[in-house]
Amino acid sequence: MSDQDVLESNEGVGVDEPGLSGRLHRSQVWRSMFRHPQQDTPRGRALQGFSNFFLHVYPVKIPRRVLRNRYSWRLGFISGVLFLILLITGLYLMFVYTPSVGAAYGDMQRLKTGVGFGQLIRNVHRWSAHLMVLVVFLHMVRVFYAGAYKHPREFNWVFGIMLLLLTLAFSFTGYLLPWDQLAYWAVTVGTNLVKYVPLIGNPTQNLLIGGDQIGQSTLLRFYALHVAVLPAALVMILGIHIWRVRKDGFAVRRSNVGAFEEDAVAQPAAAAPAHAAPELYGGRVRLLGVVDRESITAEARPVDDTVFTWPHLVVRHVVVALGTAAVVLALGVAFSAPLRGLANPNVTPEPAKAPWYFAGLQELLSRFDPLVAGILIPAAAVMAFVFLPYLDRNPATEARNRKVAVTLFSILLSLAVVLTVVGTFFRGPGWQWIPPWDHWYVEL
Amino acid sequence: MPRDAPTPPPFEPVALQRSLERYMVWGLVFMLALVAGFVAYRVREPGLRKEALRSQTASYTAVGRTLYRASCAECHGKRAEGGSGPTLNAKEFLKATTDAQMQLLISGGVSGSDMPAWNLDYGGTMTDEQVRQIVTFLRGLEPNAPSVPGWRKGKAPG
Repeated sequence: MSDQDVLESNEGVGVDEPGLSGRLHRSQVWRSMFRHPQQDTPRGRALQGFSNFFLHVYPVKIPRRVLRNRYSWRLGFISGVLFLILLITGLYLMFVYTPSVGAAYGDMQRLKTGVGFGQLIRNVHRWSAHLMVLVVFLHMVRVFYAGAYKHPREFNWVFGIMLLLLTLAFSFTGYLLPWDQLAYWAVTVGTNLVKYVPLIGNPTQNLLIGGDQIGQSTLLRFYALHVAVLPAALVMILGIHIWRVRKDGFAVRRSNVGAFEEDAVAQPAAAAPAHAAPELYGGRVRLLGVVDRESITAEARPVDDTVFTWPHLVVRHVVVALGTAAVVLALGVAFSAPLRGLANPNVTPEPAKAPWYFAGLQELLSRFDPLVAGILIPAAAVMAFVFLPYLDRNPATEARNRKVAVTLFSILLSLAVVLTVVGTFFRGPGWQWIPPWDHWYVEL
Repeated sequence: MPRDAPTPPPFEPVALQRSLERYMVWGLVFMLALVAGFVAYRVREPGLRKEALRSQTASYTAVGRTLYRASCAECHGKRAEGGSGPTLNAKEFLKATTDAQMQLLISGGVSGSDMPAWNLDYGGTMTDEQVRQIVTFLRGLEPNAPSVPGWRKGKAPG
């Protein structure tokens, strides 16, 4: 019996199950929805993966070390979950919010006073957004230290940088929407950075905020970007990002030397020696379309260190997703998102701070020429990150074999963290040095 | 597979199955935490709303008073006792007029009178928010408002 026949005949669907659940699993309705066999055998599990739309985002099998939380800290997955939470809470907020200077602030208050679960949803949206910036950044750091940006994943790293920038753009555009003093001045400080670009600075800033001062046109622009343009772009790029992760087999080899060689892909999978099976895995998946079906069935596979994605990785992912949701919900119940007074262009709060993830830039600005600090350094940093996988030609993934790259990255990372912490926590009115234990000037 | 086929031997290490089960327990814990979170918020929500409404009314009243003094007092009197415009601090007026009606009157003005349109949408200078703040301020006068049957006339100049 071929696998296709098994799928079509629903072989083994609930045959052994007694009682009501057995009858349910044998019913035509159930079998029309879940067409894979229920056998708990290697072949059964492989077919479950093949015949399920949602499980297609996973390879059928993964190296066992992917199951360990320490392997990736699940940071990429958590970023995705946070994005989903932001999408859902954002939709809820869209039903209440009007992107108009006259109405926006009142809508924020209505969330507090008149909308069921309104303030909670706003809190969760806000904390998830901050967390997403943090988690996406940590994901990038982790990928760097794991050397997971190396061949063949160079371009997926570039997609990752794009996703980081999109996340920042998301957070920044969302920052303005409450139209309170915090929003107005954080975005004023943030968009003023653009002015320092020579020649095109002023026109670009005008284009961005729709005039020479933040007002109705800025609010509408940021709203359109926040709820339409950025989600579309992020979903698109995230789709490619995840698809590539899946095609690359979800894991980086511990030693990258000689990994992913095309000859491994070119061999028929069934002829592979037993010890090569885990590395071959990615190749075998790519071969699905050209190799005849019998040679890729699971039972033909020799004993190796791979495990079935369903249920092992899928269950872990679901649990991590639930855990993430529980954490942001707890944050939302415990801490309210801030809402200061109505935006007032005539009253500058002291200190006027950019959002925390730009506080490092603001700190740089206080020390260097605006052109250097506001434009050259950030542009150089982004370019360096984009080109990193092409500049770093060393194939090794272990830290001890790539000391230069790891040292350089660690220095840059520490600088960025120190600047951000100083800008966020240690600066008060007039950008004076005021430690957080003297006065707390942190606004999230 | 025939009904009487023997159960296939386990093909995965028992430890793997065990760790899976541990994860499922955590999943259950998180699900309960999620439900508890919503319930906890739902219990707190009425109090939070009342408090938010109270502080909103307080701040609206304060801002509304400032706005009133700057923009309305000239015609309606410093204490809304009336001037060339109608008396607003009047039981009759406040009782008969809803918040929405007041908002409309301030926003769009009253044609055929000296009352201009204040809302930005109608060529005025105030946002919806500011109009609401003035209305909140006026509404706050209601409990102590004196009875002024002739409130429409205001107070004749001079």
